[in-house]
Amino acid sequence: MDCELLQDELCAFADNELDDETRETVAAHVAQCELCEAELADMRAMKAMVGRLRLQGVAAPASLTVFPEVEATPEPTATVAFWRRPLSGRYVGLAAAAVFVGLMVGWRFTVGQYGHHARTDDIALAHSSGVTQALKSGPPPRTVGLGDAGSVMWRQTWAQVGDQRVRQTIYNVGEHIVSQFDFEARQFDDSHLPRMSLGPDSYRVDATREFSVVSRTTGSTQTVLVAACRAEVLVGLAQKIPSDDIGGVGY
Amino acid sequence: MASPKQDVKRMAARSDNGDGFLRARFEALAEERKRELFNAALRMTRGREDAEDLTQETLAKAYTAFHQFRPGTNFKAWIYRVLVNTYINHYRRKKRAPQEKSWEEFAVDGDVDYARGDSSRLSNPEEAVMSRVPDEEVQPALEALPDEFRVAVLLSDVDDFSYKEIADILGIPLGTVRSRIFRGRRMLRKRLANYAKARGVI
Repeated sequence: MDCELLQDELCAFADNELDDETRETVAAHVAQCELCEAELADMRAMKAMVGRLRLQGVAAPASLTVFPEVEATPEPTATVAFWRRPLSGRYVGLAAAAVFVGLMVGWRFTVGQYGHHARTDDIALAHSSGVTQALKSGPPPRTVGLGDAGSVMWRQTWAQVGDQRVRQTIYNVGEHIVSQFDFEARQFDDSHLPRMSLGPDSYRVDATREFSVVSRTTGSTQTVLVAACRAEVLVGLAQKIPSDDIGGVGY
Repeated sequence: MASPKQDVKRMAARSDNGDGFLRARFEALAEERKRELFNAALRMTRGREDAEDLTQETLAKAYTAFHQFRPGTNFKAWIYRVLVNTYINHYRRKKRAPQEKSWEEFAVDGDVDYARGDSSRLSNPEEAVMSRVPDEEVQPALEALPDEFRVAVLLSDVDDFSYKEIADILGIPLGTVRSRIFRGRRMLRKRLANYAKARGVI
């Protein structure tokens, strides 16, 4: 065999990038050609040396974050509409999700829904109290809940801010994204509601009910009627979340 | 009815229809790769500050383009492509121009007939190069290589990408990947051999 033809095949051979047939041809040649044997050894030596640069790896600097900017205040439209049009079918699902999110993760739960008049302050409060920072600097994210109720999808992020647990829930209602920060717990109990078993781990609730929401900032209370809501409650998921996981960040 | 775990997976897969969910998915994937990306950037730019800027810019661009990423495909290769393109477009010329040799100059270096008395050949490569050239010499030797070769070698040997993945990352044909890595390694060998000879270690 002509050694000239083998040059970069030796390289590919060292990288295990040849098909079986070529590989065998090259191996057979190398076995009886000293020059190519030495070239192959060089290729392997270079590969190994460069590979050892990995050992000089360093941690990424703390200042390097996936999202460096302070989070933009989420689209408020749906929240405002939620207050103004509590019976609107579109936002009923949102309210339902809010209720059952709490049930699902097995936590005392706030409907810390903010009215349009209070919302800006509350978001500012959330930011100033370090929630955003905590969300970023906490341990790696971990899924504690993700689900939907009708057309509403949501995810949750928990953060520990001082001795307070703060939850950010982001709802996705159609094209709107609604963010909500909760600071206080308030128990919701769905045990009196008719439920349909969906298996050992989950059930579905169809209900019409009303509940109160309190603005943290203004202290005002609103009663919201949630009609014909439906939510799937994943019991098994809730049980898998040990309480000390809440100290970190999850969603 | 699916198990909760499957449910979460199903919902995560469905969650492409709002920025909040794209964002969450991106964050999880990017967070996992952040350290690797930063180290790759560090090897490319050779400066902590540049490396941090490059990584940050890569993350920002990748997020902007994340809707184009197809779930289930190779995220690492995808984001490296963003990294390499960002590096080539914004960092290479500006930061490396002073010490950069021309491609032609190196192509000549690399094209000596290796099998017929190439002076860079090491008589006993395993022994001579691997045990006597200190690891600290590898980085500066790589530094002197033109980016086309250096980046291909780094992607293969440090970041463990296959030729196919490197072809995708660099947007070049498979055969070009092979020849760049081959020539890159030969240029590197030549420089290390020169080092070793100058220090009398072989």
